[in-house]
Amino acid sequence: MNASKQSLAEVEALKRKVKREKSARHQAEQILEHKSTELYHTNQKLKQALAELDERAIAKEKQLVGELRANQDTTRTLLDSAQEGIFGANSNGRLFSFNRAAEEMFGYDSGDVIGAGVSILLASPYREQSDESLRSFLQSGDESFLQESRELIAQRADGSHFPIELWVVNTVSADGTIFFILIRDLSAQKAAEQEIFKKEVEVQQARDHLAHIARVATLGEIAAGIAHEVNQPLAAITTYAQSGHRLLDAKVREKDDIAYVLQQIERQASRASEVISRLRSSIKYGDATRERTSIDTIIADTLTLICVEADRKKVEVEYRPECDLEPIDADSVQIQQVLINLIINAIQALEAANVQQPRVVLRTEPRAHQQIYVSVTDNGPPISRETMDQLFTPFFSTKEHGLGIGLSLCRTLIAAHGGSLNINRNRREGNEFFFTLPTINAVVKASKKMESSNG
Amino acid sequence: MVDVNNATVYVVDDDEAILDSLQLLLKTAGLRACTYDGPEKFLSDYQPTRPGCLILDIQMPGMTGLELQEILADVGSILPIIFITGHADIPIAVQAMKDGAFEFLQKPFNDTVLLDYVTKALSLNERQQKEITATQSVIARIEKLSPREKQVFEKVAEGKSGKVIASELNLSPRTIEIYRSHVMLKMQATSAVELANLMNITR
Repeated sequence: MNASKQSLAEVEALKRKVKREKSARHQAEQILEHKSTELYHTNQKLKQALAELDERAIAKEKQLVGELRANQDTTRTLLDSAQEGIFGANSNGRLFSFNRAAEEMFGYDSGDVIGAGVSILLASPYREQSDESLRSFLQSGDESFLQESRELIAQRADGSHFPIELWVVNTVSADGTIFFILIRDLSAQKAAEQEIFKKEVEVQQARDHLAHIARVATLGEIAAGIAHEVNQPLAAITTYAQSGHRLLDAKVREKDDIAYVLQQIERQASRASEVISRLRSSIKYGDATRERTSIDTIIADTLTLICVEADRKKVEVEYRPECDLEPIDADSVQIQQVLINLIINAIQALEAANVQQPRVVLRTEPRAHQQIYVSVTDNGPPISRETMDQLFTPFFSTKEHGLGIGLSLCRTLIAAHGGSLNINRNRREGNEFFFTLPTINAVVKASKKMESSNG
Repeated sequence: MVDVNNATVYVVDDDEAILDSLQLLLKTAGLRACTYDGPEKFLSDYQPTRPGCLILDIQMPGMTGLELQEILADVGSILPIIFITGHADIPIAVQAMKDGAFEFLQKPFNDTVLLDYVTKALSLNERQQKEITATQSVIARIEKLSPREKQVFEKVAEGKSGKVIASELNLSPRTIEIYRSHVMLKMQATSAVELANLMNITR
């Protein structure tokens, strides 16, 4: 009995245990169910939140992209509205942007050139140098590459060339150093410069022409003297030759005499030809030719051309040479022309005023700063102040048939030599015209100075 | 013919070559030449009695040929002047000829023409020199006459008869006849016509 009793009690206990477990499980099940519902809801909420987040992010992105695009458009518009050709290139020299002005200048569509090398835009030899200079800049970082604009020759899509001015600007981006290159088309400017140069050449030519005309006119005034200068040796030659004939006809032939006659003929012939070559060089027309010469030689040559005219007008022309004057770099013909002009003016003025013992004195002197001073002084009645003020005005003349180009032209010719021509306003008696000329050393120094400042 | 041995051709020109060539030319023609490169030098050497002629350049520094011509005329020179000039300056040539130039030549000159002029100038000079000498001798003779003889000489030369002269001078015809013979003797004349000629020379 004890056993059954014990077994029953155990069953009972078991039954209770099952019952307890059952309820516990139920309870657990209920909790689980509840929890999973909760989870579901949370999940739902999360899903919703995520969805919301996504939406916002997309909107934000959209906004950013929009803004970026607007920004790019502004840049693009800005670039396109620029007069200068502007293009961007990366550190390899590859183009990544190309504005409208550049398109017009070069005849390329931006699409055609993006990705290509900058060098295709340049003409030889710049084309070959561009990559190298870019590379050397990237290596050395030499700022001078950026500081100065430079003038180059560019090449269009059709292969034609045009002059440009170019600046390089660099900036560092996420992709490394990039460059913006600005270009101005210099064609118009160069054409204008060309035009100015052409005009200057024309002015120079006109001046040369005028100088030539004035020279011929002046030589006309002293033509009698020149003719005399040639005629003298010709007359001597004729007489020598005739004497020679007579000597040959003579019964007693004196060989020495014949030789003498021939020698004299030769000497006089070369004397005549010297005058002619001096004359030819005086009327020659063409560009000024500078050469190393001395003012003394120029004055001596001038006096041989002028002496007969002076004699004819009974004017004493005196030259007091100054020894040890440095040589000059000058166009002898032009300086001669200036001297002839000044002397002839003086002679004519002396003649017109009927001066007793008319005299023209030429003097040369060394002056400070390696200048040579040359003066032509007459003893005629002093020129009035009013006339003095107008003396160098073109087409002003006190002479009845004067062209009025002499003195103004003389001044231009002297100025072209780096000197100046004027009248001495402080003289009480007579008139003194003077000009200065730099010595050859002064000219050399000046050009050296120029070279060093350029280099 | 001209006595070329005695005459000198003077050449004045400022151009040495002209002087030298002319001297040679004159030498080949057998003429004696004396050259001067300026009128002043010529004047300092000039002797009026020396026979010859002058080849003179017009255009020279200092004194011109025309001025020298004027000076020579002032001192009574009879030297014939052949002007030579480089340029044909007509007014100057006219002036020179008016002032008594012998000839006018333009450089370069033909030697034949020049020498022809020179020869002619020399003979003119010789002739004139002779005339002067003759005149001078007549004047010397007249100076030897007494005042009364001079009066008679003048009247005889005027072709007046002895009677007319006698009444004009209030002397007897016989006295006039004596004076007349004295005059003839002193004046080395044989007739009244000769006396008249001698009278003309001095005028």
